[in-house]
Amino acid sequence: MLTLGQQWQRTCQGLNRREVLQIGFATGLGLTLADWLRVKAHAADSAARAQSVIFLWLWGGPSHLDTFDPKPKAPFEYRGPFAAIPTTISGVYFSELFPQLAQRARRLAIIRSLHTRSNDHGVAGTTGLTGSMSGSVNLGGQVAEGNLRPALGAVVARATGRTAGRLPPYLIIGGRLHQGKKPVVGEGGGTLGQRYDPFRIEYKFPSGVRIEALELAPDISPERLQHRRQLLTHLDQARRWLDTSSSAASLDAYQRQALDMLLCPNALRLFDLSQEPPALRQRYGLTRFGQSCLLARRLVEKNVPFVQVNWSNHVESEEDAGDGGWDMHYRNFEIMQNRHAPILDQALSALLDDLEQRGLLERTLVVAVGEFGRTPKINDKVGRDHWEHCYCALLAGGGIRPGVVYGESDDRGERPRVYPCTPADLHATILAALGISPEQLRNLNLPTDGRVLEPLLA
Amino acid sequence: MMKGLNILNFLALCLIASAPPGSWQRLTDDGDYKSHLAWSPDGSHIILTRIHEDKMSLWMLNVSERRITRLTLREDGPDFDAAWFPDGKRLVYVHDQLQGTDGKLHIYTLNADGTKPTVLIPNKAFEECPRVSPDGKHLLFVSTRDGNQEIYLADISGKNIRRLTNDAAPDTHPSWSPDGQFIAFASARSGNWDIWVVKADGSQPRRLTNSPALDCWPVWSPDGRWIAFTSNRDGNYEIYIIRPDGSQLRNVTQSPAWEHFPTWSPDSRRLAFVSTCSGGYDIYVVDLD
Repeated sequence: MLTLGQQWQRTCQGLNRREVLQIGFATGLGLTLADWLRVKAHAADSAARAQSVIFLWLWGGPSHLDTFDPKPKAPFEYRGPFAAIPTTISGVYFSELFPQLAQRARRLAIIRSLHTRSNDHGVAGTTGLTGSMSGSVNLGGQVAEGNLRPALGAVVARATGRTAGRLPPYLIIGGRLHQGKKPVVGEGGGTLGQRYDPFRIEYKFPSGVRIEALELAPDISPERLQHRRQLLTHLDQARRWLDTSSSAASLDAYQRQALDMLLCPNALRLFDLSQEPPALRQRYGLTRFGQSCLLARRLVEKNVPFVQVNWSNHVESEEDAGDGGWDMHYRNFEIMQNRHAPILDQALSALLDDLEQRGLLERTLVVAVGEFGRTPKINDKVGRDHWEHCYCALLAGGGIRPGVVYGESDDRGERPRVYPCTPADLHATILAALGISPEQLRNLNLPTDGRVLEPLLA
Repeated sequence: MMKGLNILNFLALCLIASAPPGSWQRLTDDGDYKSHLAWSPDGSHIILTRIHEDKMSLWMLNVSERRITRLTLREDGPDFDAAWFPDGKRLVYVHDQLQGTDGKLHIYTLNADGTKPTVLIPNKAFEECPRVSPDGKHLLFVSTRDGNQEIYLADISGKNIRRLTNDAAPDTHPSWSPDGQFIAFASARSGNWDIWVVKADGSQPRRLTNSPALDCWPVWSPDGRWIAFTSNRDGNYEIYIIRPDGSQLRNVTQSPAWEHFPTWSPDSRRLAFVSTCSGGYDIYVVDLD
């Protein structure tokens, strides 16, 4: 670190120390100085565009009324027990459970008129992740017509064609998505092929990072990688195994990529959150989601184009109890006020602050959305059920106009009143914010069925 | 220059968030999510709900040794929100029997050593927040059996269930006064969560707090002089205390972090609660003297 700083004094006039350190890290990952300067030049050309996306996937379907589209004038059986608080956007209110985000609302763009076609987690989940229900699988196991589309992250990886040294272009922090015991499709490369599948890592509090690809290797112990020292030991084993084992030849390209990356010490350091100041880690919240958001920041800092953070593996709020999903058919208000809302409010606020302080927010697009909303009318179990007709999303950062509210729901939050939009439109807008044109997508045989929500773009 | 100042402000915030007040005593340091604290009548233990290794269950904290041990673990769903019988030998709690993507809440009893889990109030609707009366003869609990969350009273056998509250808005988080004459609870009948007090027969409800913010989880002190509760009226969750007549409201935590789930020591001089002041969810004690 000191050497790099001294180098800056002698040879890199015009770059600040942070940038020099970034060069050091990037070159350690296989990115040459020339590559890095090209990335910087691209950034200067597209000042208002995002270069990376952090996609916060609020699995299970958060209630729009209890988060970012409260209805304080609706009858009680709709609005629920939470008050609405003013935000820093004049006339715009959030649920009182999100005071930190309310203070940061001027940095946000809010969509309040999303709707989707299914109230099944599997179908709506696939739609939210790919922009299409093609190939989705519902709870009953029925597969929807059409080929499964590539996930948004895979599209971004393909369209940008960018890698960050040895780091893969599309990473997911979090486990594989499920509803009940059934896996949900839509996180992979789809028609683009396995090459664009995400590289998956998990953060579990308090044990730390778990890397699924490493555990897939047949001769490597599946023990969880609980501590950095343990991780190093496993990597030493992996190196020896890769050098000597005949079964190494059977590794597919994906596993090779994973191991290749993991055997790079700088990549290992990237996943080691103990390198962050403890006070900053605390700002994110020492929860799985909070620390996953911090890890996402570390990845976009190294120019990874697309990082998805899964709130949970399962939709259910009680199961998979790490943080649990947002599927609150019962005890909705207890769980919202005691766990989910404070965790999201803290982590997303810290992420926005951290990105801004590092000068990363202007080139990083942050999106927080689930697969659908929840019934505006409270059910007889003090819960809210699935609601595909209307829900909301938050966006902030690169390429996005801050302080904008797109669309509006009706008085009870049941339907969009104006400017209805779909997950495909959201995807089109994210791609536009990245500077990826429909022509580019067509040339790559990628879907272009979404409509860019122009008022959201900077 | 402006950016430099922002960074300084940010670092200052980090420092504040990482430093629990010196007067607080920290009882746990694992950071796992914790909730629903209840101090034992003899003061030796706190029963709590903890999410550990993806499982939500009941754990017992030995206060003097600061040692936490698991009390329950069921494969068919989580256990949470336990409360003590007055003799300190048994507990009541909620078991959520998961079924597909749904669940069924039952109220159970359990010996304080973790043995003999027994259904007390079987699932009829969504049954939660069980609280045993000071004389050990009755049980308060919350149920949606009549369409929305209301407070019910049962004999300690689980029989003779009758409804105590009746409002279109939810009523929850009941807490007995130590003489058994009154019940404090959280209700949204005024438009958002406030603390209310009602006589033990369900009559004469009166509003104790009147804030546009969220007030919930009231807990009556064992000496009867105070009611502690959680409120976000200053912008984040804090522990407040108030006299049962609504006077002398006081914020006893005053921290930039999240504090919730207060429980009184048997001598009414200390409050234990969950705080995120160190990043995770840990248990602290504040001395009210």
